[in-house]
Amino acid sequence: MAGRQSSPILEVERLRTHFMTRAGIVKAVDDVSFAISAGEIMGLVGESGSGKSITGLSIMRLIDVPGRIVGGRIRFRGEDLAAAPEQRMRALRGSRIAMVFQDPLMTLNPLLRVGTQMAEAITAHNREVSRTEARARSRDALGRVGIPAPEERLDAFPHQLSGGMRQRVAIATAILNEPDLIIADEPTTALDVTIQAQILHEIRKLCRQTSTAMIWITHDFAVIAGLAGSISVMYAGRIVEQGHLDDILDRPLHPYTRGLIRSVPSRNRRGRPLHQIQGSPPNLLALPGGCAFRDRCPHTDDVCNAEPDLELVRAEQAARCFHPQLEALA
Amino acid sequence: MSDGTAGASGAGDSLRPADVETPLRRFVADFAESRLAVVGFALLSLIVLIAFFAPLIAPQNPYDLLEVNILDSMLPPGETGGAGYVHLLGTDDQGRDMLSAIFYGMRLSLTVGVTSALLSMAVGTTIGLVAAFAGGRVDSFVMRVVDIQISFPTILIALILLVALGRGVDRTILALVVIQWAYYARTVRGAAIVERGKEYMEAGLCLALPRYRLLFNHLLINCMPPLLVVFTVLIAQAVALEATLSFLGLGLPITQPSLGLLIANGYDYLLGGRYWISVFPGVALLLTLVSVNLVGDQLRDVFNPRLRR
Amino acid sequence: MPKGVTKITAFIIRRLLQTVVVLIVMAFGVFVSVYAIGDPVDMLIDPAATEAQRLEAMRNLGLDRPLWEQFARFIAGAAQGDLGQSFVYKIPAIELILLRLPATIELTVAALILAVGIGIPAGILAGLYPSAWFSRTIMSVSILGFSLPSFWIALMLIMIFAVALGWLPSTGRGDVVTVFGVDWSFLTIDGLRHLVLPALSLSLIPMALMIRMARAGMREVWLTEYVKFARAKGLSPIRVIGLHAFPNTLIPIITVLGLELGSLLAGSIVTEVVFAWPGIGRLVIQSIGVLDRPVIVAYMLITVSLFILINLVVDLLYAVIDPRVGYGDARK
Repeated sequence: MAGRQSSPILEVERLRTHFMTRAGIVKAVDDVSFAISAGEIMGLVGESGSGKSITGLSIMRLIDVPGRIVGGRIRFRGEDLAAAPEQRMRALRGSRIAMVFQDPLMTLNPLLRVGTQMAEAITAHNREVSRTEARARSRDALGRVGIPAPEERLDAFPHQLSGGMRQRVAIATAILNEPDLIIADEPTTALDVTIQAQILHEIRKLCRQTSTAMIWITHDFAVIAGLAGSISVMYAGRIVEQGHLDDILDRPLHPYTRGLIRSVPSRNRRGRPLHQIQGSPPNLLALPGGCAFRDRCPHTDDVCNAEPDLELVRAEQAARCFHPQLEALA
Repeated sequence: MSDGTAGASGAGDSLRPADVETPLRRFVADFAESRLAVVGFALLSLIVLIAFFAPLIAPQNPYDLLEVNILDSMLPPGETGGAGYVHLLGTDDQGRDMLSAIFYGMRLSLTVGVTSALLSMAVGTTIGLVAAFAGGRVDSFVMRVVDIQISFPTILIALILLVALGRGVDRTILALVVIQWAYYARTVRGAAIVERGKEYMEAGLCLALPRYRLLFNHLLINCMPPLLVVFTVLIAQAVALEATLSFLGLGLPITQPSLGLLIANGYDYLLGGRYWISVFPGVALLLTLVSVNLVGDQLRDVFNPRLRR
Repeated sequence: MPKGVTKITAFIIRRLLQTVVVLIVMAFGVFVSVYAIGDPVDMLIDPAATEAQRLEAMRNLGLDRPLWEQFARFIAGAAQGDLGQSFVYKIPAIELILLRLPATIELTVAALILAVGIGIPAGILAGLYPSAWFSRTIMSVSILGFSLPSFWIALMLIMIFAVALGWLPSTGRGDVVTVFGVDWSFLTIDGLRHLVLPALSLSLIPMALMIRMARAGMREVWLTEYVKFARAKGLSPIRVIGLHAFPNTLIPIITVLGLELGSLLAGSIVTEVVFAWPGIGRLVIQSIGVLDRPVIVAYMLITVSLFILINLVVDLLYAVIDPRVGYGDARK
């Protein structure tokens, strides 16, 4: 599916990030591959605990002990981040690759003014920038994400701003250095729906203007539906389905993807009970052999005791399943 | 929160009754996760046993003047005294066998510590529950007193009381209760206010169960985990504080030598190189306090769901 | 800005009023309890003295008056800074205390500096690298510091460094230098050598506390999104730790530090007795031994006042660190 447009800006190949806990090894990310081109938005979808956030943090190389990237390559503009020295990573973080986090109330340091927290993202990468210039650039960035009276906001403390405002500040901070890639870890999940829509709209606009690539991590197909170009669905640390957004929304192959899509409320299915996926996400410490979705899947048979591979089922749509569902969703 | 499902996905088909996870089994398993805590628990059990059976296992009764021979005074460890047996830990300035004195001292120290911890738990729990249920002014007054009480250095409170009351086992216990009730009151009140809002309490009130039954059967049982943690911590604090006060000559009278007093007695000889009179009771105190704290620390971890992995 | 200032002023005034109330209640409690104890005349005059001499002595000390009158005179005196005359030293009790106070302050501050200077960096290290060997060592030391009463630690330090190794002296203040009419030990080499063991033994408990709090705070803060966000901005580790993580652990630490300073003042009693350090703690224990009531009462009142003052300063410091703290009527 990759390589359709220009050469990809980020290629993740067989990434594996494991956590060595006292209870055993948790394979939070296991053999994950995908690619993104400039200006493209990729949705990384899955339940909590599926490994999607750890994938994002792995690209940033912000995995703390007991976690470690144990295998694979993260090729960013040709450079392998998995093997890059920490010094190099620090230069890339916040300047070429930025990340935005989930909880708007916790994403800013409560003790520092907004302006300080934004300006340091500039000065950390370019010492020559003066205070006034850093401040001016911060103010512009706030304006670009739709914050009214940006000059005053710079002197505010985070607790003086609403959750939506704080998340905009975080996004503004992310775009300060005009990065090539932004990793957004459910930044709108905790916000109410109207603000969510506004922010999504602004982000789409920004990406188009600056041709910034973006990985949008979410558990919610409804959010990603109007946003992304391609989708990777994760389950239990692995990608179970990959393809273009429209293909996956219309004809999801993997039973898990189907379950996720059908559990989104929608106008054309009004009046019918909402679908829910049986069971709960598996314990990553005690993953059974074979297909990880086996226990929750309505199509399981003996074949599923073996390990499925991620294979192309249609043109540009792959699934990790022995029984891909070929018919369109009703 | 509940890990009930965690084991299920990997569990086999045949669940024998013996494999069923009861709360007690779960608790024991969680507790045993730290080897250090298990060692602490074993040590504590041993110390409690020694303290309990001190009169039976000690080589001599250090209080019985007939058994103590002044001619045996200040024998170094391993010497044989006039009574014909080896003083493993030596003797003190009056010829008392240190091992026996330590056994009896432990008995006394633990008695004071546990008694005062139990009494302050009773007093503090009652006050805390009353505050939580009365609410309003009573609550804010009680909590203000608790705040002031807790913020004051314990040794200062003990000093004021013991200067006024004089030495004695009962007075030392009283002073410890005055110091410690506030911790229980705060713990219980905090837990009770959380529990009060929970559904089972409302259900109980709807069923018109008598208030005291709600209080004691439901609330108290649910306040138990934090109480137990505070209890272990405060036993250690009580033992340490009693030892300190006795060391300063303010706690127990000379006729009832707890570990602190034994250490104080030996202090005069420490600089002269007769280390055993002070050091061995010191080691006994150390082992007691460390074992109680190890158990308490692990209890806190087991009961604290935030630290669970 | 002016609004904030008036708020803080109002807060200070309210706290000062509270302080006065607590002090009067304390004074009464201390006075009554101290005066409930044995007859100091027995200890102060020759047992062979005649009844007439006894009565004479009691009259001189004001002990023949009823309790309420003694208290009234005491309060009236206290308001003018007169807390009575020491029965033993025959000088005003407050003067006696002020004379000995510098030694105690020196000891306490030295202990606090050790506790903060060693405890906080050690705690931060242990928090950043929870499974490293040095973190385990740090935590074991902190458990010991917590479990052990300070007199025991003091004895062990004497055993090791004074008796066995003979490196450091174990009693007294050593050479002092007089600055502004006050003796200080820390200005001479010999004085410093005398200060090391008492300060170290007094510092171990607060040090253990600092280690624990810094470690727990660091571990908690390190997992927050704002620290992750700061790291994701590409800041240097020093800036992430020093500006984003550590300041957010400070509020509980400063609270505890304030309380600990008070505890150290009181806890120095034990240390001073063990090391024969001539401060107010040793003075009060000696005074209790000879029932020198005015000194005991003066000690209690001065210690409690200092303690309350420290707490007030701590409350005010919050505002400097945490912009979210306001000084409304209710403290959270």
